[in-house]
Amino acid sequence: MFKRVNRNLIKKAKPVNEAVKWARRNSLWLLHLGIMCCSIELMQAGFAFHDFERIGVLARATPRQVDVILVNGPVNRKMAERMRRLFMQTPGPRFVIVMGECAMNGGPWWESEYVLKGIHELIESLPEEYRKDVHVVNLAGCPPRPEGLIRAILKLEEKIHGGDLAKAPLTRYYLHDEEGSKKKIVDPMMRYAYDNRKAGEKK
Amino acid sequence: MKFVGELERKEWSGVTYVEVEPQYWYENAARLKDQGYLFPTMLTAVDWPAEKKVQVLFLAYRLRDAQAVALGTKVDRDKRELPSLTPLYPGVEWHENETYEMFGINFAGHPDYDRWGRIRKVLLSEDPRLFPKDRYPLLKDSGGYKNLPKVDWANVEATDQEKEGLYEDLTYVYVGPQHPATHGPVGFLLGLRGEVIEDLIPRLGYVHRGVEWIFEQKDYTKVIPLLDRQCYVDAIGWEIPYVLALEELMDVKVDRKGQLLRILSAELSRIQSHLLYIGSFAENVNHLTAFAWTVRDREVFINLLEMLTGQRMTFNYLRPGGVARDFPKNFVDVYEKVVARFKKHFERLIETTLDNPTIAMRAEGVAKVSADEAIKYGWSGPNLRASGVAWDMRLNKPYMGYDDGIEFEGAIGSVGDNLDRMLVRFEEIKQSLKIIRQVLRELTERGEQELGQHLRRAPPFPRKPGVAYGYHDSARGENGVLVVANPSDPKARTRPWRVHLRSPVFVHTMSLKYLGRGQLLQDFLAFYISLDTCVAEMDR
Repeated sequence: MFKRVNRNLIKKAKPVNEAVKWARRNSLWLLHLGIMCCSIELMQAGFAFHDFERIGVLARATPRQVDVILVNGPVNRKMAERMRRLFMQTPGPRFVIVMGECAMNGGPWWESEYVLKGIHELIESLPEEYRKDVHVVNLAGCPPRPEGLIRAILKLEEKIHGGDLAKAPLTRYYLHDEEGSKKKIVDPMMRYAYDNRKAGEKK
Repeated sequence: MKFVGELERKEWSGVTYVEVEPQYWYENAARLKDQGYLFPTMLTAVDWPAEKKVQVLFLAYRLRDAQAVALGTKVDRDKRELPSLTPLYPGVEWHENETYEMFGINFAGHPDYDRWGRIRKVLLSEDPRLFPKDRYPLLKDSGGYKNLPKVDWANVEATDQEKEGLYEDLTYVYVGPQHPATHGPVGFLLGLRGEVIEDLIPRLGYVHRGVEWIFEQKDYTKVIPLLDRQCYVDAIGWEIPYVLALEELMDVKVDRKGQLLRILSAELSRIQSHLLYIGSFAENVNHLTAFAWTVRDREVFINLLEMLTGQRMTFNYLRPGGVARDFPKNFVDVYEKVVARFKKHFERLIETTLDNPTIAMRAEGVAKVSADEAIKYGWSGPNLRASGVAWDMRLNKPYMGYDDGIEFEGAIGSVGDNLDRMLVRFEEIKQSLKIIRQVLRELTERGEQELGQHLRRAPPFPRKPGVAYGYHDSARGENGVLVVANPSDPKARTRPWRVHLRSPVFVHTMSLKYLGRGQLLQDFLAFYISLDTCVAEMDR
């Protein structure tokens, strides 16, 4: 009598996968491309007060070094081919944050057919091997606030982690607006006006 | 002033409108120039299908006494041809490009004919697969931006490559549309010999949406939120000219409090826009600290504007007859606290930018633009003033109550290089703070008085046909909006017949075609950024 050995006993190298996931979600690099209004909010999110570099996001100018393509404005017919080329040049897996109404569905320019009815038109036109590893996070707003963009980045990280980010090993994030969070909401404006402690100007 | 073949003379918005016969178009423009009207503001067209005519409008200013004349003519709709005015006014070249692609008016003698044998489309795509070749979208019966041919993006390539009109002895380099230094999707094709730019083709239209056509599909008041999205950095700057033009058509007056709130929002918006300008110029010449600082300080003014208008960037604040919201009660307190801090930061910013050799070497003496050139190409706003022309529309051609007891000085430069363009903005921030202080004092003195007329009922749309031109000296230059009302047409009873946006950024960027030549490659991008760009407004 023979017994066939069970090949399933061998486990996949899960720790490495976890490490890749961890590394990937903690260093999401964005494509430095500003199309319209949302790009200004992207800029505000990148610097003082919001500062997305603290969660590992960095803007790079070339698509060959980025993980995330942030589509932050209307894509019209002249731009579409360029945009598609950017999608092709990005190494996989391609993460896409669709920021704002224009990129989602044409937004306030819906009457004009010259503007694409959303970036999904382009994503659908990508070749199969490119399209299958495109992961999209939509972010509504016209334009969304910088907090919204940071939330979208965290959502993407959650997607990469494959579940609840708060339970992720090694990293914990708190959102100001998270439900049940006991963390105080800090109004950047008030901080700017009153927080003089470091400058030694306390009254 | 006498014109040949004059048909009609009218007055609107402080502009003398003279309609002439088309065969005397060039001659009358020459007369206009002889009278000292050297500043070409805009050239555009209005379609009148009922009369079978297309009306072409050319607006010019005489800067020394702030006079404005609009020359108009009506050409046959079937035979749309006019002589080009570029030999007289080089600054109308790009306006003629735009009028050609929107209305199909052939301007004989346009400089593009020499090089390409046709007038190039600047905003729309030249590729017939993307936009039909013979469609001129602003003609009323053309179908506009609807029913365009379907595009299979998987099989469309090279839609925007330059194929003709290039010189063989130059090396051509594409810059943009995805480029960190262009601050938005705009492209340039640079013809280089060594490091020197000898040929330059601006490539616009990567954010063109056809807003002027979209405006014609919307009610008058529903246009206002879209105007915010023309220049999202100084959004109030586009609301003001449109609402001013609309008020003239509706015959609505604004009371002083409404005017003060408008000035307040305009100046707050100007400060944050100039801060972003200083930051992005500094960033472009590798001084990233200044950029981080200006973004930090800019957030403060954005928050103040949010307190005032309810929105961070796209305010939707102005209404015909007033503003949308009342003055917030604790605004003055917050403003005082925040601005005391900002002033310290601002001094530090001046120290680190102006005493910094990184900036000085990239700014001083680079890209000098003389006053004559600036006027010739139709520059406006801080860029014109940096070249030493004392032309601030808030002072020279006051509107919206800027002349009513508000004291401030315009800033002018001397040489017109990158440094002057930056210094003018620094000074304008100081002047804007001065204006805001006076406005807030006046608002506090007025106390809890009733707000503007917006609480009473303003008519929802103009009842009489007419034309009005509203203007505002915004952070980028003269934002002008031409509104044509034609309520006799059933489709345009509640909608504007034509809205034209005169974008200063479009003028500045297109004039690089000539002013950018002879510069070093590395200086060119600093020059381009020093003009304060905003791509959405450029492409419209």
